[in-house]
Amino acid sequence: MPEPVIQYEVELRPHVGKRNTPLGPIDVEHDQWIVLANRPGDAPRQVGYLPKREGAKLLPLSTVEERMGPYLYGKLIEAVDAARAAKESTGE
Amino acid sequence: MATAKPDTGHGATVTFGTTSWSGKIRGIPQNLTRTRPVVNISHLGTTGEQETMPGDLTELGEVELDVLFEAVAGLPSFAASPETITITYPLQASGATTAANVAGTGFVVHTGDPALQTNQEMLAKIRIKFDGATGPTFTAAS
Repeated sequence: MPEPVIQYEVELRPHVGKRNTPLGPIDVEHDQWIVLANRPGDAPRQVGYLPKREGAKLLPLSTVEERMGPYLYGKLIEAVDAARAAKESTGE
Repeated sequence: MATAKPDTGHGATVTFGTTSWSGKIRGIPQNLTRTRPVVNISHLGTTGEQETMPGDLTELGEVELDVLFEAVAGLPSFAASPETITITYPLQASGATTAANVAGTGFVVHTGDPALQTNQEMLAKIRIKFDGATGPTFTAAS
């Protein structure tokens, strides 16, 4: 049985929080990205978080993995890994 | 464009930045609490009622998770260092692109193995504590 060809577009967005300092609260980037994904032409939607540490995998929102099923979720993971590699190659 | 409307907690997620544990969360019966301490500044000359003033530092309560225990996953270990912990609110009904979340550094302070009984799911407990170093900060859905 043929499998659908799915290609996801992924955006890794900085996750900004606050840290209190003696000079007042400052914005800091958490050590993870917010991961948004969509199919071409669709609106992006958050699917989880990706820790910045080496080798880390997508931490999906609770409904994502089960609703997508193994095939589509695998495609999403591939797209997230590719987005990470692209970000690292540009030194971001 | 996100629309402001009430929602249930179904679909919420808790993620740990370092601890390699993920499981099925039944619920979060105790979410984050922030308490402002009350300092008693009454003295012998105070008349009427006790006099108080707000404290300096906010106290952060522990967050409690009920999780379905899965034998292949177990429960999270006590990581050596604090890590980023993120509680993400449900996204599906808000019409938003990114979900509201509370994120900050923290650590696991308690795990409770499940009761083992016939005809009952194995329900375990995890309690986490934000350490106040970074966050916890609430970011609204957008």
